[in-house]
Amino acid sequence: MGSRVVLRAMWRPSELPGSDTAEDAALSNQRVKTLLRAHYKEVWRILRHLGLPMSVAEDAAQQVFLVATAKLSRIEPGKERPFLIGTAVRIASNHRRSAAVRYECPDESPERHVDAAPGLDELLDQKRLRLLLDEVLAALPVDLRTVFVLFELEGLEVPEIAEIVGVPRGTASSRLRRAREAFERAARRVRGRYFSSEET
Amino acid sequence: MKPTRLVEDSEDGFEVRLLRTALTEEPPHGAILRAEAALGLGVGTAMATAAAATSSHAGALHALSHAGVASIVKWAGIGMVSGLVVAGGARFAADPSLCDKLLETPSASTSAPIRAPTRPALRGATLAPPAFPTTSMVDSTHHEVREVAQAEAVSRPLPRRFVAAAIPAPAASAEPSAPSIEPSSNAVTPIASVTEELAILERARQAIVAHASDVALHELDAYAAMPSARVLGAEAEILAVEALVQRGNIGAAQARAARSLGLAPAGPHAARLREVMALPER
Repeated sequence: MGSRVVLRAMWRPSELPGSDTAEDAALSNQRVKTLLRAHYKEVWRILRHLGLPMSVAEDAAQQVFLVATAKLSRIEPGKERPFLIGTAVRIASNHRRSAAVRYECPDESPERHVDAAPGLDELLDQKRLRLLLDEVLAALPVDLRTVFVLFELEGLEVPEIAEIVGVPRGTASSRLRRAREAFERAARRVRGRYFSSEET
Repeated sequence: MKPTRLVEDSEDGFEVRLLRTALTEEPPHGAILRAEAALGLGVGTAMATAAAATSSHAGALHALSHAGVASIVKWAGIGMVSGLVVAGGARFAADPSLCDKLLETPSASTSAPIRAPTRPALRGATLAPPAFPTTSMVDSTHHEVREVAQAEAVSRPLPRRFVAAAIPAPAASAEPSAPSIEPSSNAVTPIASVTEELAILERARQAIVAHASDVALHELDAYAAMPSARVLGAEAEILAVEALVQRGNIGAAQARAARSLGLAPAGPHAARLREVMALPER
C-alpha cells in the first residue's frame, strides 16, 4: 500500500508543463526503481514460464522495464502491474517468434529433457521438478499457456487476464479450462518419468 | 463460478507440486541491480557515463564498440557487398563516411554533459511521429545518430555480460573515474538504441530473404512501436514495401511506396519505390 502512495505521488501526466525538469527526471527514476523492486521477480518469472530460457529471460525482463520507462508518464498509478505483465507477454511472444526465425533452439540447456537419474537432495529434486514443469508448459499452445501461467502461477483473475491478453472474458475462461486439461494431460506424461526416477 | 487455483489445492498431487515449484523460482543473483544499471538508475550507469564521457578517442571507440558499433559496420558491409538495396546498410553505403562520423567522439563531450535531457529526439516517451527520411537525412540525422550512439553507451540496456561488468563491488563504485560528469541522478530516459534498430531491421531483412514476409512485417511493426528516435525509418519503410510485395499485397505495397515517395521523392530508396509503383496489380 505504501508503494502505491509513493507511485501516485510520483506520477506525472506527460502533458504536464515543465515535465522535463531535473526534479521530474529524479521522480521518474525513483518511480522506475520502485517498479523494479516491486515487480522484477514477477516479470522475470512470467517470461520464464512463457518459454524464455534462463539465458534470455533477464535481458527480456530489462526490455520490459525499458518499455515501462519510456512510457512511464502514460502509466496510471495502480495500473503498473497489468502494464508490466502485458508488456512481458508481448515481449515473450516476440522472442519466441524471433527464435523461430533464427531456427535456433530456444533453450540451450543440455538438461532440457530431464535426466531420469535420481536426485541427490531436495535441491536437485526441485530443479528436476522445474525442468519437468518447463517441459509440461512447453506442451501447451501459446495462447493457453499464457492464460494458464497468469492465472495459476501469477494469481491474476480472469477479467485481468482477458484485458491483458486482449480477449473477451468468456474466451479467457475457456482458454483457462482448456489449458488446465492440456496441463493435466502433459503432466500425466511426465509423472511416470519423475516417479520412476525417484524409485530408482 | 470463480475458478480456484490448482496451487491452492489441498491435495499434494504431482501437478500441484510442479506448480508450487514454479513459485520458488527466482531470477539470477544481482539481476535487479543489473536492471537498475541498464535503465540508468544504478551505479553501473554512473560508471558507464563516466567511461563514455572521459575516455580518449580510442577509449570512446572501445566503449562504442561495446554498444554495438561493430555490428553497425558489419551490417553496412554486408549491405554494400551484397548490393541488397533493401538492407538498412544502404544509407551507410550512400555515405560511407557516416560510419567514421559515428565513431567520432565530439570534443565537447569531455567537458559537458552528453546531452540536454529535453532533446525531443531522444525522449522516447514524448516523441512525435518521426518524419520520413529524405536524401539529406544522412546529414540531418548525423548529429542524432552520434548522440544516440553516445547515449546508448550511457543508458541502453546493455547485454547482461556488459551490465554485469559495469556493476562493481560497492567499494569500487564510490569513486567514478569521471569527476567532470554528473552522475545519473537526473539521468535521461533510456532509449532504444541504434543497434537495437539495426537488429530488428536485420531480422526483418533476413525474414524477407527467407521468404517469411509475415515475420518480416511483424518485426517491422515491432520497429514502428519502438520507443526511440527511429533513425533508420527509411530502411524500415523500404523493407516493409519489399515484404508486402513478396507477400503479394501489391496494392498495399504501392500505397505505402506512394506515401513514402510523397514524403521523400528524392529519398535514397526512391528508385526502388518507383519500381514497386510500376508493378502490375495482381
